[in-house]
This record gives sequence, structure tokens and C-alpha cells, in this order.
Amino acid sequence: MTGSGPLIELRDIGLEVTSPVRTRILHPVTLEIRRGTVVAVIGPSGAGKTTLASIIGALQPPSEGSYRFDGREVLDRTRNQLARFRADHLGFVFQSSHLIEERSALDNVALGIVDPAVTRADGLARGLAALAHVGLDQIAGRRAADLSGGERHRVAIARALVKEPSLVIADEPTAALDQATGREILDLLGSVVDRGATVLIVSHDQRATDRADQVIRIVDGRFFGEGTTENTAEQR
Amino acid sequence: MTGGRLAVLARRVWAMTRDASASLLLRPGHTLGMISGVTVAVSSALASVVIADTQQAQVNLRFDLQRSAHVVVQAQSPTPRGFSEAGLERIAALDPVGAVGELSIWKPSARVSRSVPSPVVGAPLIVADPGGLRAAGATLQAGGTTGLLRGGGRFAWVGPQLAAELGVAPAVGGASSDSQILVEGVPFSVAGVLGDTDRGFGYLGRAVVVSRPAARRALGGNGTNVRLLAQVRPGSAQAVADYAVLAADPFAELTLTDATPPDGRRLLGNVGADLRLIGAALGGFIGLVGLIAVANTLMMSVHQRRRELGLRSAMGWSRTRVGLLVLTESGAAGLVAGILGSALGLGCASVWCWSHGWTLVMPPLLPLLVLAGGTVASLVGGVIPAFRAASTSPLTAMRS
Repeated sequence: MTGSGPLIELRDIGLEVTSPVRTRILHPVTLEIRRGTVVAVIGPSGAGKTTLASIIGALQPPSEGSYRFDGREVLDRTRNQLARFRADHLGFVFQSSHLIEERSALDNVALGIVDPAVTRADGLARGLAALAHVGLDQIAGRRAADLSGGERHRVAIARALVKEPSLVIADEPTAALDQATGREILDLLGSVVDRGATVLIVSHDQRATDRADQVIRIVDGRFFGEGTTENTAEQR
Repeated sequence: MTGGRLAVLARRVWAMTRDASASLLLRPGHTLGMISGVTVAVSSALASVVIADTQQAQVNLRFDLQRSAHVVVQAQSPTPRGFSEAGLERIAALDPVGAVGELSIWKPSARVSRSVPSPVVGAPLIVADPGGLRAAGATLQAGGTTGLLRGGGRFAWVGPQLAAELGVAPAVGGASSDSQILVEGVPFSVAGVLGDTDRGFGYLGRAVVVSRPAARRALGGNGTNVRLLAQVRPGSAQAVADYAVLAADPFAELTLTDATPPDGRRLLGNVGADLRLIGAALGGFIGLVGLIAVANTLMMSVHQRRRELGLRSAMGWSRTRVGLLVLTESGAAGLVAGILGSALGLGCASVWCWSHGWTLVMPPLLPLLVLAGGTVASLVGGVIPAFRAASTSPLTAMRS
């Protein structure tokens, strides 16, 4: 991280698709995300939360607007530069954790290190440290297929953290988890800011707002308000 | 490239190979499908070529005695003079040449009869000189020397079967009616009867042989089949033929061509080459099938791994790197298949040769060639799946 300003600045970012029919997925949004904060993007299913996260995660280009990350424009980069951007700055926790079933927890975490210059030994050491952070270093050698749902999400979080990204994007991290486990995962994600990262949690689960410093509410592709946990609770 | 960069490159290649190997090991069914196609191709190609080569060696051993001992050079342009003495001497001076001279077929079937009224028979009319007859291995059964063939006198030598058929014999101490024959209505004296000939010249047994000057003066024309015949040491025919064409006709007036009958070794060499070609074609065809198998299996694999590939892409892998991963997988599978196929093919060929009591013959570079071929085939099969993998959107990870 270089600057002291906002980590992310979105200006009139929107997405409209033209095929098969012209459809507005995300109406223009303007917002800023500060460094070292937990940001919750909430809204009902199909509201456009994941689309916004995809754009912020440089997985999908918007059809309009400007996106600056750490003060630098993101949208004028080539596909390879975007891949490099994701490798250098972003960590992802996907809804279904996306672990490679036959590999060990540690191997899955080490997969998050994209830089080919990192040696295998160094990668495994860093993977083990990341697993320790999520409390799973004792089961590092266990196959992903043998892990419980909560453990899988923890491993996915460790994989996102292993390269020490500036921003962690978690898409529906509590989906398909029981109440207690979901709470643990949200707490764990909330603690990531202690490592200096910014966390963006996309969820339709209102609990995601509990530890959020900033809450972005989206309904039907429209930016429906921004605020802290307290005033979002009032809107509810 | 500096040492540091080389080290980073080596580390990258090693990491990619390790990753690809891990992916292959994680999907044994797919990997086996890919490997088996290329393995069959490599093993069949190697076994076919090795068996063909071994067979060729066996054939060479057994046909050494059948190798050509004669050179035939034929003039394409009509010539009244035949071959020059100087040219023939140049050829005769070669070490492997035993005898050389003209042995041309003036007319394939000339009318021949006794001078007394008798039936007319058809017999080949040969124009030869003493060197040509010696080169054909012809001996004299009766009568005078073939040295008379050099002159222009009307003397003829007849084959033993024709002599018996016509009831003629060489004149002894002066002309007799038994020694007179008509060739195309022109009288000739029988100076001798030929005896045995080398294999391949049996037609001399029913032939009439005259000198070129005699044929030109008495019968007219140049003859239709002007040939030079040389008896050579077995194995030297090709070299002598190449030299003879130049030595007998240095100014290319006769337009000489090598008409030496192919020797057994060369013919069988061609058969061996054909066998190798068939083996290689068979290997190539099965290689194509293997290539398609690799492409098909990898396509399925890529389809099933869309989420994983999308995840890698989302985590920051470039398109090139994702494509290279799949390509490395296909190359690694091809390499393993090449090693397995080489061993299998060699094993099959060994068993085959052993069961026939043959000594296995194999070009030393063949295993390396088929190994490289298998790897390349597998890599080619992986190109389209690699493109497909590289085009996996990182969004797939988010949406799946």
C-alpha cells in the first residue's frame, strides 16, 4: 500500500449487458472504501452484490465508470496486467470454498501463492503460517475432501491470506454454514484487518454487518445506501 | 541470460512441471486414458520398425549369394559402330571386372534355317564380341574361337539347342553343308557351337551370334538393343555400372543408361524399406488416434476443471500460465507414454525375434525418436484444450 487516501474509489461504475437482451445489472455506483476496514455489501439474492464484488476484484470489467485502486486506475490495464493486479493485491474467499478435494489443506493454501519465484519450501512455510492464523495448522496434511464445511472455509480464508493481500473479497462466506460456524467465519474475516488488509464481505446475511465499518446496501442493481452498522440497522 | 534469470526460469519450469504432474496424479482415470493412446502408438511404431529392420538383416544374410554379378549398360541412341575398344578397355581395367564386351540383341526373332531346303525357325539374333560372350559365361562346346567375332566375315556361332534343332555343326577343315545356315536369308558359316552360359543368359542356347561388322554388312541396320555386358565381382555391380556409363561413352553420344538387373539385396532392401514405411505409417496412424485420445481426454478434463482453472485465474494466474499448465500436463503424459510405449514395443519386438530365432536389430536413435514423437503428438493433442483452458474466465470461480 502506498497512499493514505481511500484504497478503492469507484466513480459511476455500472454494468449493462446487451446479450441476449439489453439488461442493466448494476446501476452506476460511486463510493470509496477506506484501508484497513471491514466493508459489508448486503442485499437480497440477485441484487447485484456479486457483480459489484467481481468488478472490484477485477474479474469482470464494468461497462462504464472509473475504478481506482490505491490511487491508480484499474480499468485501463490489459488482461495480463489485471491478472498480475489480482496476484499482487487481492485474495478471494468464494461461496463454495473451491478447494481441490484430493490435495491436502496445506497444498490448497499454498496454491494461493501465485508468484512462481517463491520456492516450494517457502510456499509451504507461508501456507502453514496462514493455516495457523485460522487455527488449522494441526490438520495441515488432511485432504480437503475430509474437512468439514467450516474447516473448508477456514482453509479458503487461509489461501486468500497467504500472499498477504491488500484486499480480501469474500463472496457469501456464510452460505451453507450453520449459525455458529457462520459466526466463526465472519469473526475470522473481521480479524483479517488486524493483518493490515481491507475486507469486503458480500452477503445477504445481515450478520455480516455486525463487524462492518462500512455497509453498502444494494437492491435490484441499485446502490441503496451506505453507512455504518448502526444507521444500516436503522434502515432495516 | 544471467545466472539469476536462468535460476528463476528453471524454478518456474520445475514448479509448472510439479503442478502438472500433481494434476495428472489426481486424475488417474483421465491420465490413463491419455497415456494409453500414445503408448499404443509409440509401441506399435517402434515394434514395427524394429521387426522390419531385423527381418531386413535376416534377408540380407540369406541372400548374399544372390547378389548380381553382371552389369548391363544399354544405348538409347542408334549406333552403327557399337562400343569403342578404348571404352571397353577402360572398363576391363577395373579390378572387379572379369570380362566386358558387347552382347546386343540384333533381332529378337530372326528367320534361321539350314542352307539346304529345311524348315525355317525363329531364333534370337545376337551381336556380340568375345568379351561379351565371356561376360555371359558362354563357353564353346565345339568349333573355332570366338575371336573370329571381331572380323566382318560371315561366321556365326549357334546355341546348343538351336544346333541340335537345325542339325548343324562347325565346319572342320573346310566348308560342309552341315556348317551352312541362312540367317534372314543370308548365308553364314557356323564357326562354333556355344556351351554353358551363366544364369540369366539361357536364351543364348537357342540364339545365333554374329559379329557387329558382319551383321551390318550382311543384314544392314544398327540393331535395336545395343548393350554392353560386364561380368563383375558380386557387390560391385552398382559402382561398375556408374563408371561404365561414363567410360564407354564419355561424350554421351550413345545416351547410355544403367540397365543392370536389380540384385537380390537391392530388391529385398526395397522390400525392407517398404516394411519400415508401413510400420512408420501404422505408427503415425495410431499416433493420430492417440493424439485425438489425448485431445479428447484433456478437453473433458478441462471442462470438469473449469472451476479450478477459473480459481487459478482469479488468484492471478495469467492466461498463458493456465494454458501452459494444461500443455505441460499433456507433454508430461506424452513423455510417460513414450517411455512406456518404447519399453512395450521393444519388449514385443524382442519376444517376436526371440521366437523366430533372430538377432534383434534396432537403430540406436529409434527409441529416442519415438519418445520424441510420442511427446510431440501428445503436445499437439493438448494445444486445443490448452487454448480452451486459457480462455476460462476468472469469473467462473465467482459464479460457480
